[in-house]
Amino acid sequence: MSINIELPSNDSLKLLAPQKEKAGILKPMTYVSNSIKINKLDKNRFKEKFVPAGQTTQLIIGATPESDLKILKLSESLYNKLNLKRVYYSAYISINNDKNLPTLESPPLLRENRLYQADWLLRFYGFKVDELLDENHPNFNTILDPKCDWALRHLDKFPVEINKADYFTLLKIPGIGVISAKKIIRARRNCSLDFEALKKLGITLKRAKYFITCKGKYFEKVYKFNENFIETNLVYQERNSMPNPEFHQLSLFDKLQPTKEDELKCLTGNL
Amino acid sequence: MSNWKLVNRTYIYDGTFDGLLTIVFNCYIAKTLPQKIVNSNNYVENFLDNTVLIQTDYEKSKRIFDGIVNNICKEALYNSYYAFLSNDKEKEINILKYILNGFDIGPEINNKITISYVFKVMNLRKKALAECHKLKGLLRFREVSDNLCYASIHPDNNILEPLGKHFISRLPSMQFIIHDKNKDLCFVYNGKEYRIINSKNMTIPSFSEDEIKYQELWKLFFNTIAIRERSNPRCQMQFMPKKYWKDLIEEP
Repeated sequence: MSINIELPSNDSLKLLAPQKEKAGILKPMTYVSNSIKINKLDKNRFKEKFVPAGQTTQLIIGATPESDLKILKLSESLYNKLNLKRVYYSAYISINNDKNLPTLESPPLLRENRLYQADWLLRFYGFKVDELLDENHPNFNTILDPKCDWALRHLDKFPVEINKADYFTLLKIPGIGVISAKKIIRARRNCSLDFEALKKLGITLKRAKYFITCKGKYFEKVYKFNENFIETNLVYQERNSMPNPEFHQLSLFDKLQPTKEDELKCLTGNL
Repeated sequence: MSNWKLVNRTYIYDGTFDGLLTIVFNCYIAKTLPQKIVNSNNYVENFLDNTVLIQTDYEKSKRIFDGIVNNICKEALYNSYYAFLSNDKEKEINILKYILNGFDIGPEINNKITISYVFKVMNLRKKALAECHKLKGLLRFREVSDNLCYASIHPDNNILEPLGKHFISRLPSMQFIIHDKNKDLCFVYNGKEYRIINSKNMTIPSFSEDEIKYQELWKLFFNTIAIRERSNPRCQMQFMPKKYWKDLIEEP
């Protein structure tokens, strides 16, 4: 069941959806979540499940000036208090022209993506919103994903020793997710792991290599553990993987037309 | 298993899972490991190979089948079966070593991912299952007559059986044919039982009159629900790789 909040604050609701009200949305949501709880507790009385697929909601991103921090705070409390299955974020696409609506050239898809990444961090990785964002950084980094960003600000917790760290510490390494962390735990019961073994397990080291040690050793090709070095490398990697139409491979011949000056130089003979 | 004798032989089997399990049985009794195991369908004669033809023996394969469930675990059986369905040249020898080592150490075998053949079996299973899962969504049935549907696919792995079984449980009262054009095999279901048959000389049936109309409607629906502002071809291709597009009705 989905009861959509649509806009993440009361002011925005008043501005864009005056027929909706914070209390009017939260009341049915609380009712649904309480009913699910009661239904689960008293299985003898209720033969059929109430809302078996759980409760979800949707938030629109980019139509109103809320920061990522505010949006995530809202979803965190929804997950904790109302036991929501999921919160969906959808980037705002401008269709109507209204003085209250912003005019965006393209929907803020990157921001939506970052919010989903952070949402996963909340639900499966044991993160809290206060760790990811604060008043000084209310919005996510556009180049690095939320976990990388967090790791760079908390370098004191790294490097993590792959063979000793517990599950939740493994999950906090950028580039290692639920599946990889479980694989590592499964495999290291039998023998201690080195970087070769990690590659064999199919764990991508693209980001993780800066933050881990295996048997006390740092990744060979990464020789420095300091913030600047790691950040430049990560940013460089991300830039390379992003499609960027503004830059292209230079060719010696196709674009370089001789200018007037060149012609003059040829004539006078001082090329 | 580690001190078993490696014999210079190439085993040839008939390409069925039972055939492979027969080889496992023979190796387990003789305590030897062959150099290679090849499928008789795509074996090219090589005069360096010391070939032995293995006849499929259902009694032997049944014993190994039960042995895997009782002495290793059910997961090991799934792993070896799905790895067997994959399209890999060295799958047989890896599955053989995986099962034999499994008999030695029991269910613990699935945790030893750092052993190369265990890892390979796991990976092959993953590949086959992933393709099966993708095709469950990308398969398009076309209506031939009132209660008969036809679908063609071009998969890399031999996943006709698990795929067909999925559609039997979804559409139990329908009759359908799923045609694997890469391997020239057909999964045929008549509403009660299924069979996998060779389809080298099969003519593709002509479709019913309504089919064209419904195809047009489907294309229209596909284009109507698309949100142009959110198009993301790279993401789309991760979920529906281009190699499967030729069997689709819509044009993404």
